[in-house]
Amino acid sequence: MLERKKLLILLEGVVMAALAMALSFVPNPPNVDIALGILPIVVYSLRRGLKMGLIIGLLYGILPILIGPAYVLTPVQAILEYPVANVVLGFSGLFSGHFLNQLRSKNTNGAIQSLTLAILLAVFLKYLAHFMAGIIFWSKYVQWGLSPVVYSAVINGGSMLINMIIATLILNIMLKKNPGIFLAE
Amino acid sequence: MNKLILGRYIAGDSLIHRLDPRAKLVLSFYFVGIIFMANNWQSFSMLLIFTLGCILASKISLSFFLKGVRPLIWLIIFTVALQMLFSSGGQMYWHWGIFKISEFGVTNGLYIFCRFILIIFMSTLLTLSTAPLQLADAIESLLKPLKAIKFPVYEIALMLSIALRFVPTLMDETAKIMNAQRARGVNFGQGSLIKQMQSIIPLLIPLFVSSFNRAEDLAIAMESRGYQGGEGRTKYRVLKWQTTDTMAFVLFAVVTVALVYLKN
Repeated sequence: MLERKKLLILLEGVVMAALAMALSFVPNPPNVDIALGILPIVVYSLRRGLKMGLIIGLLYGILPILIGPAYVLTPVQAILEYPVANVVLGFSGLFSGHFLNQLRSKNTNGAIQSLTLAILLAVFLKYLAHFMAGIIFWSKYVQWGLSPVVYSAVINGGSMLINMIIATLILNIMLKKNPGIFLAE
Repeated sequence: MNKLILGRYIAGDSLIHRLDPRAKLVLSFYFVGIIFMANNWQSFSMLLIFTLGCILASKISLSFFLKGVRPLIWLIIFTVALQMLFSSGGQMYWHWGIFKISEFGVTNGLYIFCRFILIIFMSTLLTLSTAPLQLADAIESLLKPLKAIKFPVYEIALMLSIALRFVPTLMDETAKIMNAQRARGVNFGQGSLIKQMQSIIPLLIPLFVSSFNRAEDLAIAMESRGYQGGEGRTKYRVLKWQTTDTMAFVLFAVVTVALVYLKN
């Protein structure tokens, strides 16, 4: 019975990573980079906890490199922007225990609170990795002109804020409409 | 969204296709690393010729490689333009306010352009000539030493290959649900951000629900077929290291030596 549950937990994660990958092919509105792939990983980390969240984040980070749409410009940049930037999404699992308790005891406000904190942490860490990759990239390619730190902070800071807002809104609406997605029996 | 063929792999039977995926993975990462050593026209021409040689050996049409450049073209143009307009040194060709085009700027711009092209061509060559599943096997094999620190190598590899199997299925499902919602008047990828968000919820909820159902079905199917997990499972695809793989490493070593010799 225990083995069976372990297998189910693992496979749920695999399917979530595949879903995250599939969602990255949904068309974006012009000029906005919405990373929908964040959503399944955060949902899964909250549902199954920190450790599995990190493993599935890593899995989702490796997939684009295997399938091909990854932008590889320097080795360090590639490792930061794919495995690292997505592994950190699993840290939203830190809030898993509290979140699930609140959800089970039907304390909606408490659940919304930890869900929001989980998203903010995950998105912040993800864009921190993109920010560092940006510094490395711009300082390697452009030695003069713009400061790489400023440039990377502006570009990634903007995407971070948009994705924080979007992910928070979407997941909160999902929590309201269908809490079963977050709660495994 | 209609392209449901997973990845960019183009089946073929060339020298490059037959190389061990482990060798290809390690060597392409290595190549991306050594490109940064090139710093004059001799070293860049040598790397360009070498890369074109690899592309020829793969028997894949050059147009597929140019397609790989397309999504990054604006980034490349922007970076090259920055480099050309803001760096100074050597003979000055043109000058306007803070913008200037100098001999130094033009050569640096060209070098950076070459660097981009080389990196994109080489990483494209890896994904064009190696099936995603082969790459997953290669990663498993390369990560094996991490077993010593209890890193779940076997599980990661199993998960990678199952995930690769499910990406097209879920893309298909995403497309189906999007069409169903479009028929109800939803516009994806258009309208204000708020409208976008409203359109995405009725897509996400069914996708999540059906994904978790799929996971459960798969767990039952695997269990009923006696899946026990973990060590000792044999493989259907076995990786075999061949002489050509060793030769490829030797060739890259020669390229490295030539690069060190040619660069300033």
